[in-house]
Amino acid sequence: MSLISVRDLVVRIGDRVIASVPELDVAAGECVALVGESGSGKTTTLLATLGLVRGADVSGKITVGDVDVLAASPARLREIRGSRAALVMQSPQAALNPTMRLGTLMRRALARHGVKGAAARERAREAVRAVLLDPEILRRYPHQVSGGQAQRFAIALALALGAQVVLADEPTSALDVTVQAEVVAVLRRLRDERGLAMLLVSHDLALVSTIADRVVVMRDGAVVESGSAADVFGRPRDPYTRELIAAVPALPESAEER
Amino acid sequence: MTAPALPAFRRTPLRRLAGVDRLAVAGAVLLALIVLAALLAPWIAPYPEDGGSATHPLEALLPPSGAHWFGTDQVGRDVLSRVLFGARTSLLIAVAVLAVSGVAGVLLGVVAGYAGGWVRDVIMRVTDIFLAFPALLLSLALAVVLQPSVTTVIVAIAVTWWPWYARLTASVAASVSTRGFVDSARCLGVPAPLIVLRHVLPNSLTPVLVQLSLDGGGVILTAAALSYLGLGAHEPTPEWGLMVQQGQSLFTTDWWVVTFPGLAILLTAFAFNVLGEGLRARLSR
Amino acid sequence: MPKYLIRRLGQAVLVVAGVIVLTFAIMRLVPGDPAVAYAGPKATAAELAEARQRFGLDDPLPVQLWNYVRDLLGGDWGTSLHTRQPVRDDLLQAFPASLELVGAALIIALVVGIPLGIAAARYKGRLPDLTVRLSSMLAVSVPVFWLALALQTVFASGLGWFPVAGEYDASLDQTSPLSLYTNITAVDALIGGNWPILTSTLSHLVLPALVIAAYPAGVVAQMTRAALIEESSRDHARLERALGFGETAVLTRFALRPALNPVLSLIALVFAYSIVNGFLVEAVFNWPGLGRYAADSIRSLDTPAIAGVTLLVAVLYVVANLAVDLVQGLVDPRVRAR
Repeated sequence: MSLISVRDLVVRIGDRVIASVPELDVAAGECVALVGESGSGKTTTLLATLGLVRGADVSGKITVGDVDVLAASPARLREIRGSRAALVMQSPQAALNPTMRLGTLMRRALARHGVKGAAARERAREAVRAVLLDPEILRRYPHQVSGGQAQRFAIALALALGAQVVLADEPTSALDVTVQAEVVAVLRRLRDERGLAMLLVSHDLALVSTIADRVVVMRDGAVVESGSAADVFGRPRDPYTRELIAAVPALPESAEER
Repeated sequence: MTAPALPAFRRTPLRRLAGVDRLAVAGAVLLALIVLAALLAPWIAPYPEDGGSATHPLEALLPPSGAHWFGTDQVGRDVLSRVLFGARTSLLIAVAVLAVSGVAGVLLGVVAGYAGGWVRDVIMRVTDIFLAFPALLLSLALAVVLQPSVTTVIVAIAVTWWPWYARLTASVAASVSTRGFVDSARCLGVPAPLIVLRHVLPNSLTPVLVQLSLDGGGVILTAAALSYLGLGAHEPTPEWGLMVQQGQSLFTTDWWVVTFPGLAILLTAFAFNVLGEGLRARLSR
Repeated sequence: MPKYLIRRLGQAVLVVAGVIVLTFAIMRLVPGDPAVAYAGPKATAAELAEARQRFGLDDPLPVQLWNYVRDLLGGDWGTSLHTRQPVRDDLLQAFPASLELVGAALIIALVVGIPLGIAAARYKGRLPDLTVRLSSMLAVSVPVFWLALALQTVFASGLGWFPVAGEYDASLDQTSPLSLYTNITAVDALIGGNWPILTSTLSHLVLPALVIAAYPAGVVAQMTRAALIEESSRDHARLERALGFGETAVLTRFALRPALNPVLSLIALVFAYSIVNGFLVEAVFNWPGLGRYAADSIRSLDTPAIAGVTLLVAVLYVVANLAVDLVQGLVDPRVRAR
């Protein structure tokens, strides 16, 4: 059963459609990538799954687990945010409140979802270790950690809250190449070992080819192509997809080899 | 990050008007009415001669009535007429202060911002010193050593006000000066004063204009305070702060003598503030 | 941090030096002869010469400036012409009362302004927002001397809810004399457990403090609103929403702390402004602070006294700014790291 299911999603601002996705499913242990250039509507689609698109009309049907996102009450939506599906953002340090220790943020987030005291401390430590960080990091402020550490901490937040879905918005594009590899390794391991579902937004096709099981290509708010990663990268049907792939010279061969 | 783009905005005149901050419009309308009242004071004031030194001892301290909407003051002058004429004094002071300090501040600021280096450092340190004095304090000290008059008020406030514009302009001009078109003008051998006048200055003005309209209220309040302390306008000049001072001992018995000039100050400062806030909200969007 | 601190201190010292020079320059512009003001209109030529000598008025200006700075640093702020007391003593006496008044006003401003700013940010673009914005603009537009007169007339003279003027009921000096620690009456009364004077002072404080609080409360509300709206549009607020926090929680539990930084630094600016605004209010409520002293000095063209007040407030401003920068370093880990 898919943990995220999107049908006939249309996001409009005024009379302009900024994202339109007829069908999108993400199952446990699966990573689906939304690719396309900036402005293609991929981040909007990602945010819509948590009801986080502001100042726009959203129509269609989105389910996260058994919750109908567009029909849910605001309180119910806040309950599933973090605990069912957690967001990992592009710029890891900007995504963390600069005046708050990481541990404080973790503690508040856990308390928000009903985990307090010793249980919360245990969960926090366990989650931080699972992303290969020293629990000591919980005592630091965002500016005292590296980008890669901050990003892994964001993933740890998702783990601690028990989220089965990770929504990652360009999780590596603000990081150095070596650090990117670390973060990707963590994401892959969690998908394989814990069966997390992942919806990954990226314009980095090299990254996508190393982790995605299925790929959805978007352009100007519309889906132009979707399919398994091997199909999309190996035998792209849409000219736009071919263009995207051509922009990453080493990619087509390496994708086919695998 | 692919944030949702703003919708394309159709530029029909009606929509453009709707896009302007409603606050800015409200402030502009209110201010326009006050300016109009000031300009037309000799014609719309019920007793124009009361704007000056006329006295009517027999009609002193009459409460508001059909003949005197705002009542009369301690020498029998119509308070409404004096409030209307007072708008002229206050607006004159505001315009003069903003013009003098605005021009001085913008010129120094543009030079500091364009030249950079030690020129900028010197100008900025001098503004630091002036900014250490709250405007009213420095004006107070200056107004004490100069003779009390409307001109003194203008000079005293302008001296304390220019550094704000110098700072603001310097920071804007510094960023404008790094833009491409300034570089290319420099490469073409355009002399520095011409570059500053033609390119840097016009592109640095917008934030200063917004600040000027925000500051109108502050100038009105400071001027009224100086006159209230007896350091500014004096009899028989109709000035709101002075009217409050002259009537303050009568507040309990003859409230109208103090209430209406005070409300006039409040309303005018408010109009400037609303306009300025509206413009700022519009600009920062 | 040490390097930043040293640079910041150097700047402050430079500004204070400039402030002294500027004050000196203004005071040299005084029309009329300070010697005449001191010795009196009926003084003989010899008395005048003596006074001139005494104030060093015959020396060239640079020498006078040098002497002025030397005296200031040595703690000699001149002698007031109207109280005939050392200006420094007069200021030390008057300043605590002003501090008490402005301190109370700033506390009111923060207590009122921050929640209003939060409410406005929470309901941005809706009725509560518009109400807060308009009333804060009204608050910064009101002439303080007029508001002081109006509140005094209505709530003190009229309704009798609060005392009309003064700092506390003077008859209490006989029945329960105050022991001095800080010279700030309310604080001293609290330390010494002197309840009659404490309650009397607090009831005398209400009206003038409210009047002075109007401007900073308006500014704080606007600034809190703007900073919160900015902060809640940042990336971290999106993450906080995605963690299941609602708008109110994002504003008060996450955005408020970083947003308070600009509000805090604003308070330094507003502090000195409020002291001077307090001058006008002190005159109305006969509060024994710097304002009343300044008003008396202005009336008697008391140059050393006016110079003293001017200098004190300007230096206060510089120090307050410096203090805020340092406090900000403690509150904001980003500044601390610098």
